[in-house]
Amino acid sequence: MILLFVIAVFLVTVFVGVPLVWAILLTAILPILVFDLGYPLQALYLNFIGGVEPNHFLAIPLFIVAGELMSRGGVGLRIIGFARAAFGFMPGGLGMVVVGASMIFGGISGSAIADSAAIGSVMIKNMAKEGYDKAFAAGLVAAAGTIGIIIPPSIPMLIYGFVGNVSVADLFLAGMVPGIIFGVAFMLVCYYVGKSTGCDPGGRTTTRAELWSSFVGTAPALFMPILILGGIFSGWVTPTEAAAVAVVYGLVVTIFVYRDFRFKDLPQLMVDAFVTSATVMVVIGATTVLGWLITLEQMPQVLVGFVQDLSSSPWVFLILVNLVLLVLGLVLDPVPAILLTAPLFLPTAQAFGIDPVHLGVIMTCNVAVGLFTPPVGATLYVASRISGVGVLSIARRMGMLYFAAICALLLVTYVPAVSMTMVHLFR
Amino acid sequence: MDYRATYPLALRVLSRLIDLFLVVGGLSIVTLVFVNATLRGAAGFDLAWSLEVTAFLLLWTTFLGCAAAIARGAHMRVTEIVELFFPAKVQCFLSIAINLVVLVTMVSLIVEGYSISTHTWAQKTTVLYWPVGFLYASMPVGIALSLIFHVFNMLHDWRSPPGRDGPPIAHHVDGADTGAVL
Repeated sequence: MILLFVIAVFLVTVFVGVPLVWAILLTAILPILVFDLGYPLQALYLNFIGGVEPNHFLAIPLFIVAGELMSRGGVGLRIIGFARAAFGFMPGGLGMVVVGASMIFGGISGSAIADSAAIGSVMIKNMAKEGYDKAFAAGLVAAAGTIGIIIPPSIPMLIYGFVGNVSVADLFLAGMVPGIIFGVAFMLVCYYVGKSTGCDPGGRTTTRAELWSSFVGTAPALFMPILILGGIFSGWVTPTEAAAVAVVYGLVVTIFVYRDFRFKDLPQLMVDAFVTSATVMVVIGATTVLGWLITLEQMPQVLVGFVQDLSSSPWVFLILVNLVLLVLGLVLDPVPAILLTAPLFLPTAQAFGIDPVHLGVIMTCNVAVGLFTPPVGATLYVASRISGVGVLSIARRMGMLYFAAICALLLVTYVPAVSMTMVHLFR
Repeated sequence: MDYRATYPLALRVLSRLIDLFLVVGGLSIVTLVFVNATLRGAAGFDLAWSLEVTAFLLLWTTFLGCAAAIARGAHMRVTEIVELFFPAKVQCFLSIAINLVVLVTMVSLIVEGYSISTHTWAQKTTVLYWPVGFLYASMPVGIALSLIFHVFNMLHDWRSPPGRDGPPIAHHVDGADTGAVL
């Protein structure tokens, strides 16, 4: 009963437009008042502060700063140049450039929105000029951009790891292959569209010299994910320290190597990044309050009982995870969707013997799909703003991309080896 | 929407001061975490006090950043459903109701947060012996500043309620106005 009330209050408050942080706090406060649960407000608010307090959460603003730094200036252009040299010769090559560049940029920025904005601002225009349907080009940018949160480093995975007490290094390792699978699935769509519509039959030639020179130009940016992941996996630095190293490295590269960022722009970048970070952190704090209530009222056990009544198979639970997150993804951004469902899903998954790392990857891939589904899809909005094409018009041209994404999602969900092999190899 | 341009001078100054704190606090966090990692890797020791300073900075930048986000109308929210399915009058009523509910929640956070801070003021942190209450004061102070901005935003929305002259504009997604047309 309380679980249903909590879900109802949350959905109503979110749908009528209450900002998420207050909607989540109300979702935690109202059941206490309505059901007279007897928890003091001070205990709730101590959890609100405590949810923001852990020192390793410093990684969140730091990764946001690093991503913002690499998203401004010419890093995106250099990556597109490299991807064009690598993929441009194939049928559907320009589309593949979008996907390839998004995968590389995702490894640098860790943000789907930064990814879509950086790649879309250059590529949508170019694809339309080449004869691609502009709505499809925008849809491709929106879909491919979301690979940024699957390929490590990934901010949603980082947050899942912190709130669920799951190894961030394992999550980053587990995200690699799924990210590549999503990329390949989107590339296959590009190949088909390029060939079947005849707008991009391929045949451009790239010399080795061109490929090498574009690689050399991109190498300093490409080194950033290697630095972050190498540092974490080798145990030299914690994820938080890796984020600080990434910021300093990003400053050196953009100011002294690429010379497309100036010191005087740094204060504005810090304000923007820390305001974005604050909006995420207070939602984390509010979710901690709700998670505390969910645990005390033993709601995960209620969910386990409900799912076990349906079937004792973990597959049924995974279908439920997929469906719930796909529906939530229609209206929520990745971070709040993960924050809200993780306290319920994690204990339930463990009861079914599902590895928390695998669950983290499934949840991230799910919310990544939600990022480009209307009515609320952040990368879809970015692509719409850049292209000038309406969100719903873009979504109508994305049928094949949705199909490819769902196939990749099912593969990641129901074949644990896709995510877990890398973890087992390097753990 | 970003409300800062509609604020009186005193509030714009307050907003700039918070921004300044975010710049100084943010740069300090980057420097401290980086220096600590370098020292541990290169010299085999780290600065124990830096963990406490960064913990303070994280909390204060978060709750002051919360106020800065309110001034910018940048908190994550889903507005698309109301904009698509409800008439302008209902939207206006909902906006007022939501603003009032948020206001009450903020007041409750400030009152209880003040109490938490004063009750823990006598406790000291392990290394620097700073009051723990100072750490917890970040919440009531940040929310009090948020409340000031929220009241002005509310008055602005009252005077010029959000209309529906053109197509619905998607905003407040991922902390930023996207400006996309649905």
